[in-house]
Amino acid sequence: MSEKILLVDDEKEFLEAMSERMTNRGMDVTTALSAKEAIEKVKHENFDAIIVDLLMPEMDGLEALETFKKINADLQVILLTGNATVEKGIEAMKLGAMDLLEKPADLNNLTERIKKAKARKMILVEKHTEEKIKKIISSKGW
Amino acid sequence: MKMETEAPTDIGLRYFGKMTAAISHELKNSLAIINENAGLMEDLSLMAKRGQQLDPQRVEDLSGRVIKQVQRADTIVKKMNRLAHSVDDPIKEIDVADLLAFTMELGKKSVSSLGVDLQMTPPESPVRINANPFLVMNLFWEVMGYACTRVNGAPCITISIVRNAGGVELVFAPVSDAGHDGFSFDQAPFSGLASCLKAEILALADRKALVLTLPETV
Repeated sequence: MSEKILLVDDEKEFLEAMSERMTNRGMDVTTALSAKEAIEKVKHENFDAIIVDLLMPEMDGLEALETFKKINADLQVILLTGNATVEKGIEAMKLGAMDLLEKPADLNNLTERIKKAKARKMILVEKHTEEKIKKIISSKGW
Repeated sequence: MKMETEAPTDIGLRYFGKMTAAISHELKNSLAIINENAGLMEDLSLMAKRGQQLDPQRVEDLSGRVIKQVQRADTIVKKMNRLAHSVDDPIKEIDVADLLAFTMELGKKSVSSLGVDLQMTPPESPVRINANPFLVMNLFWEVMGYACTRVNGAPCITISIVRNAGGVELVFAPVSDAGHDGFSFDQAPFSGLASCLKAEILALADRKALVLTLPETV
């Protein structure tokens, strides 16, 4: 099954080219030109990974990351940045980012991280399902 | 709360660092687009090798995108060059509207991240002063930053340039503290910079405006 990706960047031409390359590699890509647009999509759709630019107008990638995690704590978020600093990287990880990659990103490297994100998300979903089943079994006394 | 005054050299270095970081970020964005479009060309070439037909128009569109980004990057580098050379002359004749427009352009991304739009109303005829271009840009930026965090919900700040008897006035409006009609103003953080340029900053609470006055010659 293909990976379902949400790609968020305020650079329209970057979104167009990157999403086409990811689609060529069999991924199912949705794009958003702002963090606000991405948040609306996250509320209504499920994604294996969200790739979001760190610096965007109105709401930056870190603020968006916090909101994504509030909506769904299992979401796997990879941040892309034009000027990575150690401080920003630490801040992103503390907020629950899966990874922070520097632009221009190598697509093979990014694809690997996306596959890891999908695997991590599947483990989390399975864990939650198992917990739910255990809870039902114990409450019913079977 | 009283804020501490920063020495002009410290405040200047901070400004220079912030602007070069913004420039490098913009350059990286341009490089990322070039990188993805080169990657797309590589994808198309691989597909063509496997027998898929290659549309020449598609290749032309992709190379057009690369050329556009190269031109964008060239403009960014020119801006960086102008910023770097702004420290060359201690005193130089400055076209105030031109230098303000350049300062706004350099800081556009940082300002837009605050959700505020900056607009300039230029004077009827060019207003020129003699001062240090870098320090003037730095002061414009500090006052802009101060004003942008006191918009009280207004989406845009207009900066009007008006010639006065002894030099020039830049009026930033509307500026007001959240929940108030007026605002309290403490110019301490950039008072050292203002005094280097013999500049005055006045808070006109009734007009919801901040007025920066610069003399014709420092």
